[in-house]
Order: sequence, then C-alpha cells, then structure tokens
Amino acid sequence: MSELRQVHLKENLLKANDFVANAIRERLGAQGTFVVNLLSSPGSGKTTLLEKALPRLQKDFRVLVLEGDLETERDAERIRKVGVRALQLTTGGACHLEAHQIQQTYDQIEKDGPWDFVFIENVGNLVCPASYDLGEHMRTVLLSVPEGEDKPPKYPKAFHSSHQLLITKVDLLEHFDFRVEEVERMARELQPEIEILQTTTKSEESIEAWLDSLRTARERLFASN
Amino acid sequence: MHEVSLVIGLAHQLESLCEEHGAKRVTRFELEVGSMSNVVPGLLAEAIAVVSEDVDAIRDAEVVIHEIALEIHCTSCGGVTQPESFTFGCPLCGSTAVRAEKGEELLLRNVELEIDDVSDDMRDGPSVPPA
Repeated sequence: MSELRQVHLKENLLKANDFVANAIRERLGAQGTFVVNLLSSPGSGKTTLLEKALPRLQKDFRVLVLEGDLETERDAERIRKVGVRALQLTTGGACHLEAHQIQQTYDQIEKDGPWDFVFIENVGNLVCPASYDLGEHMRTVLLSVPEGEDKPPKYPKAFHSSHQLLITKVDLLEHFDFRVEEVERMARELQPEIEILQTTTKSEESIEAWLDSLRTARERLFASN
Repeated sequence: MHEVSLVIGLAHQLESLCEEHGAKRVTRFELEVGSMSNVVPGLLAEAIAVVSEDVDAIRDAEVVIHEIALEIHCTSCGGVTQPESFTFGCPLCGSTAVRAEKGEELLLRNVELEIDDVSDDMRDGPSVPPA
C-alpha cells in the first residue's frame, strides 16, 4: 500500500543558479571586484569593444575577461593579443553560461587576483543568457546598428534585465535605417532605469565614455559598502 | 533553447523533494510559466518528456503547465493592466512607475508524491537488513 501526499510549493526553477550567483557576487565583491556580464546577439561587437576598451582601462585597474563560447578559444586569444588576461569558458554547445560555470573557475580567477573588473562575455544570444544571473554587478546589453532597431521588443527580457544598453557601431548609422531615439524609447519602455550609451570603436571618446560609466558604477558600489 | 538545462535542474529539485519526504516517486507536478520568463511552454513540456525518461523519480509523472500573462501594476494611478506586448509603461496614464506583478514566474508549485505506507513497511520488515 502506498499513499499520495500533496506538497504545496512556490520554488523558483532557477533557485540553484541564483543561489550560486549571489555567492559569486558576494565573494568577488568582497575583494573589490566589479563584475560585468555582457549580453548580445552574435556579431554585435562584444569582443571588438573589449579589445579596444580594456587596454585603456588596464592602465589604472586590474582587468580579467571570462570568455563564454560554444567551442573555440578564438575570442580569448583575441583578448590576450591586446595584453589583457582572458580565461575561456567553453559551454560545449550550450546556448548560455550558468553561474556554476563561473564558480568552477574560482581557482583560476583568484590565482592572480584580486581583480578590479571581471568582464564576462556571454554566449552570443539574446534569449537564454537573459535568464541566468552569473553573479554580475552590472548587466550590459549590446545592440549594434546593423542588427536593426526592432530588437528591444523582440527580446524584452534581455533589455528589461539590463542596467546598461550600448548601441554599438554607431559609425554605420548613415548606412542603415536605424533611429537611435526610437531604440532608446523602446528600451526605456522595457527598463525605465536603463543607462544608454552610443559607442563606436572609431571614436576614442565613445569608448572612454563607456569606461567612465564603469569606473563610476564600481566606485559607487564599493563606496556604499 | 535553455529549456533542457532548466528541466535538468527541475529533476534534481523533484528528486530532493522525494528524498525529503521519503517518497517513491512524483505522480504529478505543476509549473507556473510567465509570458516574460523567456521559456516556451511547449518546449518546456517536450524537454520534460525527454529528461524524465532517464529520471526514475519523475518518469510517469503528470505535468501541468500554467501560463501566466504579464500583469502590470502602476504605482502612479493604481491601474492594473494586462498589456499584450511587453511594455513597462502604464497604458492608462503613461507613467513608467510600474512593476510587473505577474508574468515573470518560473515556479514549481503543487507536487503530488507517492509514499509507501509506513505500516506496510513495518509488516514486511525492512527490505535491507540493518548493518
């Protein structure tokens, strides 16, 4: 004989991931490390932006990049070539990174730490990565001009869950039917608090403006702790 | 795309629940999936069917998926709306001081467990003799 028992729950399916993510945020935060999670479609210019920006940031800060990729070491190699430390996290075909994958690299992360900034370059995909907290302090979503202006309503969660939107490759604006104000309006409809910057690797000022926003965000976070 | 990873986590959650209650298996469970959760209910159901074949605790369990529509509460005018598209502005007064009250859920709710009757166990004696 057996009996049936009813159990009433309200348990988040991402509970385990979120638990690990919070542990990462606390552990790295306690070392003064500001963690940035970069989300975008493939080809929006995440790696190129990091290549241009991080050697500048590195003049005053200790910087590490975690590269999420399906299979290859290519992106990590590109980052290393410009003199910035990079660890490759291959997902073995999975479409997103999960917090435990960051936790598994603690030893490697902390070996030459502590770091002032850790950048996690997520797998190129605007859907799945949006659901997974990786322990970041700032989530930055990139949207490049050639991708088109309709991305925010198509991928609402990616924009809703981000602190910052970078409209990248703005040097190409004249060639595309891409209204920056329209994108800003749609993004703010999804996340009223989102900070929006325009970048192009052709303009040092635009890169510097992004770095300024990161330095300020880090300072603000650790000043209040 | 990430439905399978989610379901593997869910299977672990249900296995621990069985352990906690000394249950043989899960006979039924309910999930709540918000329209803003980035999970496609149909794909989730398929992923559950595939993953549960390999997990004894949930193999023949009945699955009920409740889809939850986005519901926006406006803190300026107090309006409650269910917009069709994902906008975080109040359709009534235009304020952006809104919060999503529903629609972001990704929850495991009611679970039915099959538990061996204790008195039966006592009658048959322990199946594994004490060490």
